[in-house]
Amino acid sequence: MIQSISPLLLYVFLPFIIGMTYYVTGKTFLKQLSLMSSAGLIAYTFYLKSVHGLPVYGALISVPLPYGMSLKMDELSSILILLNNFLFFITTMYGFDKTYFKKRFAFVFLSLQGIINAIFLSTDLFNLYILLEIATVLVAILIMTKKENRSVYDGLIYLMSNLVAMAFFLMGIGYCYKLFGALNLDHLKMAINAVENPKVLLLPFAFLMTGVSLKAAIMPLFSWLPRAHATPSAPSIVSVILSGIFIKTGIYLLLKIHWLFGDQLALMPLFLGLGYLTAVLGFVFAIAQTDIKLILAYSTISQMGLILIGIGYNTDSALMGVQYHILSHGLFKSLLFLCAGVLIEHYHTRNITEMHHLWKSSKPLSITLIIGILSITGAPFFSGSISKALLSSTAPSFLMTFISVGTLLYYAKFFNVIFSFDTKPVVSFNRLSLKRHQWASLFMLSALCFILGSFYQPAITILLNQPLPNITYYSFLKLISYIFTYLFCIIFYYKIVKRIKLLDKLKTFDLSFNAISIALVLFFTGILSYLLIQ
Amino acid sequence: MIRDLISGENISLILFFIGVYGICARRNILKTIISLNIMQASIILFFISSHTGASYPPIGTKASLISKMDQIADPVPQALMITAIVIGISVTALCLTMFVSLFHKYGSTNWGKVKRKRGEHL
Repeated sequence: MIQSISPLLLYVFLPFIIGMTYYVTGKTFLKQLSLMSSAGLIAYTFYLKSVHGLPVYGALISVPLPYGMSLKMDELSSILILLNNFLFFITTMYGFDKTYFKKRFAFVFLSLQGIINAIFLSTDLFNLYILLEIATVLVAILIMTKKENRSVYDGLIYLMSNLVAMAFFLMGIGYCYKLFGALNLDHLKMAINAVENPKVLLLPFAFLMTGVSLKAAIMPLFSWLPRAHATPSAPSIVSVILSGIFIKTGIYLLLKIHWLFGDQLALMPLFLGLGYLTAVLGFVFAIAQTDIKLILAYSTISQMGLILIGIGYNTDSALMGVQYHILSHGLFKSLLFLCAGVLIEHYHTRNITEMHHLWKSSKPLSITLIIGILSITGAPFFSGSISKALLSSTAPSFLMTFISVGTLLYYAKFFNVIFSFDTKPVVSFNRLSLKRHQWASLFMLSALCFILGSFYQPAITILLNQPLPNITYYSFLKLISYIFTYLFCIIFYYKIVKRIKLLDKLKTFDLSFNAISIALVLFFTGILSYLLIQ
Repeated sequence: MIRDLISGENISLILFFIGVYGICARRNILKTIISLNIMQASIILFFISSHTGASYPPIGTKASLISKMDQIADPVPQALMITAIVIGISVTALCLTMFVSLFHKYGSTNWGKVKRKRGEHL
């Protein structure tokens, strides 16, 4: 029986087919075609969101659920798909004439776009497992693009630690199937809610949670992330995809697991504890680093902690904050990673203390970098402030302020890159040379950071399709307090934090593969014992 | 009593944690890959010894009942595990390829030594 083919399959196969054709034929117009396909997918998502209405289902085989398979796009996955296709649009535009953007790279890169789309559309735990496994292999190949000394080791660590985590995840799926006989998420939710003795849910939850936590780089399981996101062998557009959207697949699964088990198990203390731990330790590690890409990678971990806190509180405004922060973090972190790539090429170093006087070399790039920093530190009128206001509407304010101050502290380092008051100006400056399409991608990202922050009311209504929660987003007091906190943080960083000796030890902190595995087992036993005590 | 304990679920859990012991305690990269395979094999055993509702698993003591009664073995775990086996083979092949290239570069099979040598190349 031939079924009508669901249009949702376009999200998966269009980028893949274009990448495959490019690999086989090598015609360069296919690069432009991939740009158009990303733009088309974005437009189609907007059409589905506004005209057609969500959720949209697409059956894959004629067997009815729970045994069949289907694709589904709901509000959450539509936001993530928008972000994914937009970031692939930007990165393809930014990098399509670079030397590394050859046939093989383009094929793997564009396949990853389709696979990430498929992850967000999937409704089935086993499909999610398979897609994540393929994505892991693709990412391992992508981060070894430039053949440098460290690349194979970094790739192997990334691949194997993720494979171990996925083994835990698959074991959890096995338990779910054994207990409930269903793998479809909606049916699982119904079956889990009907369970009378929540003790039977402990093992499946602990297995699933351990696997997903490594994917989302929750605190004891973070060690693969800086290596993958900041390895010298990965081009900056790969770092953009990894930090901007790929890490969000872990967050998406955490949201799903919280949704599945949240009614039966008391998850709030667990998620909040892990979230605060991740947010705080993430910025402590980021302060210790001097490598510009490592700072950004640890900053991603810290921001994932913030998102986890939002999932833990599980109120309406906190969940909106989670969605908005996923979106805005994807945009400003991509902007910062692209800027970091330009800076590394310009100064021929990755050490942030050796980069000076950017303002005199290139004013437009300084402004883009400043927009990125203002967004991530939550300055009023930039995207980070809205999501942080939504997230902190339920959280205790002193903890959120503490995390914000931490974020400001490590972004104080970027202040010195741009203005460099403490070093003497060098006589000759290399002019920064960027091509027009590279400027265009940087400009689009920074414009969106500003739009999401300043015009948040239409953005929330269009993108999240929810009414605006009644909290203060902006006030004059907030602006003043932001400026004073930032100035205080710059002084505090250069006068005190920079001289702490302990931070030098954290700088070289690096877990071996065995230590990563032991952390994984400890995390698993920790979750299991937490749930048993409850 | 011991006979009751020997079930697909228990054996596969024990095998799984033998694999986990391997990846935690062995420093040899090749043995790590083997341990990962043991974990994957245990998961396959877990899936095909589990069943839902009225159907029976394809292996184990209950499997002999299938021909006598009008029963079929639960097809879903078998279908899933064929996919998982294929994926397991491909990722093992990838891991081994990367291991060979790592060995050519650093001349060691030990995680610790490779990490130390990588540090020198910084």
